[in-house]
Formats: sequence, C-alpha cells, structure tokens
Amino acid sequence: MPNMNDSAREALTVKDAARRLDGRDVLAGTSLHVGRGSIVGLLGPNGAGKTSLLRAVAGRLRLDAGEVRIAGLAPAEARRQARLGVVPQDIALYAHLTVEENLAVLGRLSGVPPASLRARVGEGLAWAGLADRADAVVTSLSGGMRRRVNLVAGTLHQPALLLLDEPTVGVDTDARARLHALLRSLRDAGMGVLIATHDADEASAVCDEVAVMCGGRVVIQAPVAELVRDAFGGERELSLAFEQPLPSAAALLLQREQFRPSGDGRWVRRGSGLPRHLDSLQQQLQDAGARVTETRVSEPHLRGAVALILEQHAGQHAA
Amino acid sequence: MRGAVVRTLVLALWRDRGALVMSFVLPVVVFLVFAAILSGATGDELRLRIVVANENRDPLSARLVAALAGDRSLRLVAPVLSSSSEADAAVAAGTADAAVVLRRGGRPLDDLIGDGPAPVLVLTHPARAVAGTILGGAVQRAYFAALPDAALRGVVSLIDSAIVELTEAQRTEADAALDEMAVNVGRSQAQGTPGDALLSLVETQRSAQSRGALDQVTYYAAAVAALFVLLSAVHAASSLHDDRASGIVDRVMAGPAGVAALIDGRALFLMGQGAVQVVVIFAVAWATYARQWPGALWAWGLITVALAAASAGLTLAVACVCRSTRQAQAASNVLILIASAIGGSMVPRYLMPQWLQTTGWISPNAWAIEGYSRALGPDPLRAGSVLPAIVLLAVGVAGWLLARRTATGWETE
Repeated sequence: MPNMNDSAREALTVKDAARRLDGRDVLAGTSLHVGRGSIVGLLGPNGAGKTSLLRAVAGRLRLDAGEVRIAGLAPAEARRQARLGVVPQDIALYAHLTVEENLAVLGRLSGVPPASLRARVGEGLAWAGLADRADAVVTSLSGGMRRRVNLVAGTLHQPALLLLDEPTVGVDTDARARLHALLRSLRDAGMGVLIATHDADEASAVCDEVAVMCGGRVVIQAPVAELVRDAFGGERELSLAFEQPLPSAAALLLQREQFRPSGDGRWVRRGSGLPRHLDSLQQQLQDAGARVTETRVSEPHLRGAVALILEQHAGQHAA
Repeated sequence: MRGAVVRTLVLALWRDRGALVMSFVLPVVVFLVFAAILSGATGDELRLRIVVANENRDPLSARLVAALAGDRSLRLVAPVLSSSSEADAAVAAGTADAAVVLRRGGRPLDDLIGDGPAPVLVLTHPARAVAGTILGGAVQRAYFAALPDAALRGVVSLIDSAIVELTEAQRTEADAALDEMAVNVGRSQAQGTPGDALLSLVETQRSAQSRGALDQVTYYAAAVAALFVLLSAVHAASSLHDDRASGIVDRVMAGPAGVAALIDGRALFLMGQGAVQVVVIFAVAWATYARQWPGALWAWGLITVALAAASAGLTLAVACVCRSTRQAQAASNVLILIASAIGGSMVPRYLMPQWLQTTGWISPNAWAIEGYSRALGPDPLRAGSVLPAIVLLAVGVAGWLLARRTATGWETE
C-alpha cells in the first residue's frame, strides 16, 4: 500500500538528541536510525525515554541538542509534507463514525488530497481486510478490528515513517498476528516503522531491529538475532521455579551455583550446557527445604537478552 | 481539512438524538415557558392576585372596592374580607400577592387635608414587594376613576379651608353638584361609560422609535437564544479534550493540518449550530405568537452570526484553557449561567440594580439582546445595530485566537 518515492535512504535518523525536562535528562544524547523498509522496535523499562523519543521524532518535544531527520527532513517540514504517520496506543478514532467515515476524516487531516481520498480509503480498507465492515460504526467492531482501523488511519497518507505506540496492546493472538502481517507489508512496501513497546516477544516477532533504551539513551540497536547472540553467545537458559517462600539456605545454594533471581519468582542460570550435577543440585535444594515446581531449559530469546542488557547497563551506572 | 472536522461534528450531532433534542428542542420548550411566564410577569398581561378588606362598609368604600374589582390588572382571589388581619394572613400565606385594606380609623376617602392615617392601606409580602408599588398605583387610578366626587369634595374642602373661604351658598351648591356627580358616576359605571370620571393625567404609549422592536415575546426569543447558543456550544468545544485523550490530537498533530484544523473546524461547526438554533427559536416565537417578521432581516442575520461567533470563540477558549472535558464543561457552564443571569437571559436587565445593569455589559447575552432589540427596530442602521454585532464578533475572534494559540502550544513541549 505505501508508495515511497522520496530519495532519503533512512526513514528516520536521530543524532545525539538531548532534552532536559523538570531537572531530568529525558533524552541524554541518544541516537537511533530506522531504515526504509525496516521495522525497529524500541524497548526499555518505564521511564527509559521511549515516549520522549517518539515525541521528539514527532516534533512534539523540542531538543536542547542533537537533531531529528525524517526522510531527510526536519520534523516540522516532514509534518508539513505528510511524511510522518502516527498510530497512538489508544484507539484514536471517532467512536460515532463508521470505519469509512473515520478513514476519510483522518486521511484528510493527515494530508491526503480530496481528489484521491476515496481511492486511498478503499485501498486501505481492502489492505486491512475491512472492506466488508466499511459501514460499521467503530464501536461495533472487535478490539482487533479497531486496532486495524487505527493502523490504517495512520498510513493513508503513505508516510515515510510510521510511529506506533504499543500497537497490539489488549488484542488476542490471532488479531496480533494479523497486525504483524500488516506491519510487515508496510515494511515490504518500503515504509520505515518504529514501534515503542514493552513487549519483547512482540518485538521479536515483528521487528527487524531492536533499540534498547535506558536512562534516556539507546544503549544498543541491532538486528534481533544479532542482539540475542551477542547477549548470550551460544548459551542456553536454565530456570527453576520453586514453591514459595524459598528458604534462605536454598537461596545461598543457588547463588553459589551462579543462579540469579529473574524477578518473576524463578532463578535463572545461563551457560553453554546444563550443570552436570543438576540431579544432585535438585536433591541439595530439597534438603535445604526448597521444592522445585518446574525446571525449564530454553534457547536464548529477546526478552532475556534485553533483561541482560538492561541489567549490565544498570550495573555500569551503579559502578 | 476544516471541512472534515465540521463533517465529523455534524455527523456526531446527527447521530446523537439526545444532543439533537438538547440543542434544538429544549431551547424552544424553554423559550415557550419563559415567554408564557415572564411576559405575564413583566408585560401587558400582568394581573396581580389581590384580596380586599373593607373595615368601613360605607358607601364610598364600597364604590372603591367595586372599582378595584373591575380593574383588569387586578384579580380578586377571595370575597371582600372584613378585617386587615384576614388580608394580612392571605398575603403571608401567598394566596394573594398584595392586599388593599380600607381601614377603620383612617381618614374618610373624601378628606384630603384632615389628620389621621391614610384611608387605604396596602399590605405587601417581602418577596413580592413590587406588587405593593403596582397595587398602590392601581388604587390611585381606581379612586380617581370611580370616586371623582369624593376627590373633588376633598379639593373643595381644601380650597375652602386653606385658599378662599366659600360662602354658605357656595358650599351648598358645591355639595349638590358633587352629590349629582356621584349619582352620574354610579349610573355611567353601570352603563360602562366614562361619565364624570376624572380624566387620567397619564396615557401610556409605546415609543415611536421602538415600534417594531422587541416585545416581551421577542425579547425572550433573543434571551433564550443567547443562553442556549452558548450552552450548546460547550459540548462540542470541550470534546476537544476527548480527542486529546483518545490520541486523535496526537495523530492530527503529526500531519500538515495540525491542531489548528480541529479548532477552526469546531469554530465553523459551532457557528453553524448556533445560527440554526437562533433561526429555530425565532421561527417558533414568530409563528406561535403571530409576531410580524422583522423588516430588516439582514440586521437580524448579522446579530445572529455575531452571536454564534461569540459563543464559538468563548467556549473554545475556555475549553482550551482547561485541562479536561469535565473541567471545561464545569467552567463553561458556570460562566454561561453567570453571563446569562447578568446579561438579561433570565430576567430583563431593567429590573436589575444599576450596578448590575452596568456590569451586564461584560456579558455576550446583553450585547446579543441589545443587538436584536436594535436590529428589529424600524431602522436598524440608525439604531446602531452594527455596534453589538461588532462587539460580539470581536469577542468571538478574540476567543478563537486564544483557543488556537493555547492549542498549538500543546504541539511542542
């Protein structure tokens, strides 16, 4: 559906963007790039600066230093030329209008010329598989369909860069898969897509690259597979779940064996192989009063890699 | 782009039957109620509810009571009472707006110079004090119309004792003439003719300059229109915050239209909505009360557009200055009710204290009502109907600019 015809190779370039707000560096000299035809996931904990970065890209947050370029243009000019699309986290649609009416209004406000508005709306409906629901009032749609309309409304003007904030929050697995397919088709058509999300699994499923933010800065940006490989090497992850509470003797034993609490009640250890003495370890834990409820060995994944990166970064900050 | 916003708001209004009723039916109902109640309270159809207590039961008192009973501006709500305490109770209970007591111990009705209290006492209620003033005038009018012989007898006594002493023959002659006058007055009243009634000093006539201007019904059409054009604008203006909360504003801000398109589109919609409301209210007023359509529609249309513009600008400015829908609606409603109260949309401003009448000029309602008053006169241009229009348009433009400036401030932090 998107029709990319401008010459800049990068959909988005952020260079050394810094902004201090209320005595805090919400952006601390960060850089980021989103290429044409790529999907980049922006991951990080709350307060890491994801929203501030999106706002800066959208021209809603002035920078103290650094610069933002969208398809080679400053944000204000990119807005004027309708090179930027935004899909907010909430369903940013008029509830009392039909799907088609919403797309017509929001398309027009996004800069679609009146002459081509009807055709673009038709294309958008067909692209998102919503042609048969064109006359349905938005409130009568399922959550997944509303998300699709929300997405189409952000792309009718065929922007060079699309910003999405938690685009699949609150939808079921099937609806999420459809949205991911739509995002991939945007990428394949040459659009640059930047997704801010808390969900590493989603980023892993749909993104080509991931940028991890912490303390107002992108600490790493790399393709998903590369980022996981760099974080874990060839290691796998062994995680043990226990009946709570865990006796302190068992916790000491786990620490000695290089396990770390993962935050969700599990204890995790990474390594190239499983401990040879896993059976005896489990026996020792049982002797220490701990009962293992689940033992899981998993391949390295993005969620773990991001957690590791953030942990290392927090450690560097503490040091 | 602004047209897209207007279309959205029109569709929203059209599909929200409750909002349609609130915007176009409720104002008409309120106007009809206001017109019925308040034109009776302040206009030509005023009929005070009174009771009369006659403690004297002499012929002159009886004639005055009969005259009061025949006064079309008064309505006796009980048979003639016999004591002031009964009249007092009726006023205190609210059965009557005021009471007339022809009191025992007062001067005779034909004695203008003697000692003693006035022959007629008017009892009023603190909550209806104006009724006493009106009733006092009605008693004086009835006295001179129905008891001219008594009034002249008092005058003759006054001349005799204080100016030129009459001879006995002159006194006898005067008494005879006045007795005959009393008989003639009684006869002519029975026949429904003026007879020897003293002619009134006063004739009430509508001012030549104001012919064709607001009567009570049209006044309330203007007053209710000003009130509801403002009230109805609050919803659409403050819905800007709903668009912010849903992310629509974020979406629009990323495009070439910017938030200014949302403000401009709303302003246009509100002007259209306001103009249609005014047309509906005035059409019902003119149709229901068979009033003549104004001669200069252009002046009426000018004030209508100016009123709609002022309401759009003001409500958008308040909405943009506030931080949420709820805050915007609460603030707007309070401001509109105050503006409507002091601007004459609820009670005519001439009934207000002078300081409040002066303060009322800060209200768009006052300018709108004044504007319609001038516009519906015979020569709107000479009456200066353009001035209220300019004031209202200036208010609208100022509000719109403030709203635009505030909202574009949301774009960049």
